[in-house]
Amino acid sequence: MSKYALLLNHPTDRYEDIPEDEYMDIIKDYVEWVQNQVEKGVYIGGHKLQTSTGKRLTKSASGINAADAPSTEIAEILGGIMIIETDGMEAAVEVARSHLHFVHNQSLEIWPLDESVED
Amino acid sequence: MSPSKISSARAELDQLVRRQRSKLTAQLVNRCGYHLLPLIEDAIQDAIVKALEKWEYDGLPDNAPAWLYRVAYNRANDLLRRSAPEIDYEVAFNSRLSNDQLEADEIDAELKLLLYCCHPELTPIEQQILMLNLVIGLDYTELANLTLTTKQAIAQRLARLKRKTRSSNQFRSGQRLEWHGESIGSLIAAIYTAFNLGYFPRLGESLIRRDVAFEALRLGQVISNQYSASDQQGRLLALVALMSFQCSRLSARGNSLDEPLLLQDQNPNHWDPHLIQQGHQMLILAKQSNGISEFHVEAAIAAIHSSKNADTNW
Repeated sequence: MSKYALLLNHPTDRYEDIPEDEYMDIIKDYVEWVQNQVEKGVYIGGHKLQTSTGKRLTKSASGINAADAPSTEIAEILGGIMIIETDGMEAAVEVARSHLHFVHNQSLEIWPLDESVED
Repeated sequence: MSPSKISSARAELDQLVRRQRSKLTAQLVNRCGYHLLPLIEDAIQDAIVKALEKWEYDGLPDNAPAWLYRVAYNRANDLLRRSAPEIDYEVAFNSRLSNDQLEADEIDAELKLLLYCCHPELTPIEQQILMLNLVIGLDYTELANLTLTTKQAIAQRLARLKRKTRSSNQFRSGQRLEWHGESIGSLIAAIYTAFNLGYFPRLGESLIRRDVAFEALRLGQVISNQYSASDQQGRLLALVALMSFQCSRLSARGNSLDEPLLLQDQNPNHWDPHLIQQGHQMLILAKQSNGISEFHVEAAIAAIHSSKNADTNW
């Protein structure tokens, strides 16, 4: 069994100015999906990111500068990370296909965790 | 392939949120006063969103109802302290009650909220809309679908109803309940409406809204347990009997495609024997009270339909 990170992307302005009941409806979809994966023993954990108060650090000749993120030029941002455990990438893709993220958004990424270095 | 929603898990989550919202509303308005109802509703909504945002990535905690209640209660308490400093929170929240007293307090708060919804200054339709929102927990979208209007219109209407009843002396915080036959009659009507809405196709995606029907049954049981000395007692018990018989067959009323199944096509093994037994017990008690109501007749018919071996005399 291997662990995979699901990176849940969404448009920068996806959750701005939507009615609260619609927002609650979306959250409930995510809760439902996570709970189903927990019950199947697939879901390991995850964390939502605060997408309105980040910082982007860039290196320049004058040093490392920190600017507010997300910037207006970025179309899509990372909203959260979930870790699942499946029997290979194909199975991880199948699990991710069922994610209710796709009811509300367009894309997510799957990356295998590097588990080659053990404690 | 697009993902499909799994309705049972979602229905459970909706029911959990709806139940805790109603319970919190009853508790907080009872402690802080009905004049703060809009503020309390906002605080509870905010608290529930925060709780769900945590579950969005963590999954449901063990004993999710208690967890949601505690987190939402604490957050609503914090928000209220900032927004309504005039309340004496030491008195309102720090009373040291035993478990039995807490349970009694909870029931008292819920009954008071029910009575508030049946405020005599409201028309029967207004009473039912208020109860469906505050006690059953239907949201604006669901109420708009029911009343064939828009979300905005229903929001405005509810705000108007709450303003209309806010200043009533009967609902000052800490005041004991005053029951009378008229208010019990209104409660019975509102609960019967709520129960029937469980079968209303515009209310949701599924054929039957089991959560709404069962919540109406629970409310009927709560009231019948608390209120026994009334000329309405027989009607109330007969209504509980009727709802018990009908709820006993809910699991058998749809096929795997969520299409309706007629009584003769249902599998009686899917009927709930405990609810059928409860229906019979309630019907016996109802018959011992004075008078025969429409619910006595409907419950007696439902009792025959709930008999597995009966050749129903249509």
